[in-house]
Amino acid sequence: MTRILFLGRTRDAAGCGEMDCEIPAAIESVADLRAWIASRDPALGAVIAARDIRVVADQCICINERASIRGASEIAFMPPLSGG
Amino acid sequence: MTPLVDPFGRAITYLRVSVTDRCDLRCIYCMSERMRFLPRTELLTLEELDRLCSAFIERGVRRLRFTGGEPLVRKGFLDLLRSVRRHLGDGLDEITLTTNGLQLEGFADALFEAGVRRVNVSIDSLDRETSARIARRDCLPQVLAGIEAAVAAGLTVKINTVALRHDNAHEIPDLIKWAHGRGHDITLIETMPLGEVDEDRTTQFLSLTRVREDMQSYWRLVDLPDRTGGPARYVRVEETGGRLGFITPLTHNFCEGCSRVRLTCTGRLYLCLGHETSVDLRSPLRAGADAQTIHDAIDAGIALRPKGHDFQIERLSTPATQRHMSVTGG
Repeated sequence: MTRILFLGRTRDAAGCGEMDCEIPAAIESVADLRAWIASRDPALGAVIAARDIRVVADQCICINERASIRGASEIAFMPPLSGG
Repeated sequence: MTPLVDPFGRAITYLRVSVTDRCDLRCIYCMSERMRFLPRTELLTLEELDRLCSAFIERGVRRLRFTGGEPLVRKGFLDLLRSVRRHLGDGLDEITLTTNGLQLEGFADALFEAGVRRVNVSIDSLDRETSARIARRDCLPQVLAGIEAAVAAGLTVKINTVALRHDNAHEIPDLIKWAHGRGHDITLIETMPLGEVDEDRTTQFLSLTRVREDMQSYWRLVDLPDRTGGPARYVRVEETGGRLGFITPLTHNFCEGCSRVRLTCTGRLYLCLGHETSVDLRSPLRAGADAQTIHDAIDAGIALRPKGHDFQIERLSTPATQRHMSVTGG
């Protein structure tokens, strides 16, 4: 089970701040994850596809679309300006 | 190369680099007695450290501060300094380090030759027994000799003192008089809720706001506008003529002007002392990444730099973050 956090404007698009879900084993990279979410929710997919929305897996910022998210227990979609 | 500017318009001009998590002391507020250190392969090599420092300097970092653990116990540390000094005057304004002073006597001349002009030395007590209790090692004579040697070598020494309610609260005015009498600035530091240590930190917490109020009953403190891009607020003590800094991460926010980021000895870039979000720069380095990939990774981090940190005093009994200051650098 992976907890997905939606921060800043991605929260509005997701309709919630976080959700728990089983990410299919085939989803390995940041790009895979964005595509998978878009296939389930195109509107949300469009929002998280923005270049400035970064993916942070277990508090580690993914540096590109090829970065692995496999095995992460928490994955956050973070726009800039969302930190406290 | 474009300068590093975060989403809040703060330019990143200061990089703190931890070169090792190891230390030859075991100060009660920092480490447990049986601290487990990282396997050496986890640490950035000297070449990797040099490459990352150079990348940051290319992007506008003008000041480098080396920390640890204890930077002087890192093998080859002087070689790193001698290499990084090539940037001095060519983007880089200064190279400094924070040390416990234990090895300073032997290193002072070499540090000066390597381009260092200022060092911060930690002294929590001028009483040998108290000092030994805090550091869990009898270190004071050696540290004082280290400071003498540093001054003789031409280094400007600033004293850092962690304020501890039980161990040195009563001694703080004497420490300040001692430092100022020798021409050293001194900065008092509140304990920080980072990493597990043996002591219960809430019992040792000493509010510097209180310390300052007490001090004002017998000294005149004049606020100084000096900012160093970091957390310290400075005053001049009229009676001693010296400069006194206060670092109060818990009771005062210092985020709005923060120009600094931290690189751990394992190659993680932390964007804010109070936030766990980081970028792993070691993995791309070891995967043979080219310069542009490293710069992209740094940019990915800076783009998510938070506005400020959110330590809370209630969290003192459990560390705000799990990482030790000895990994991140003080």
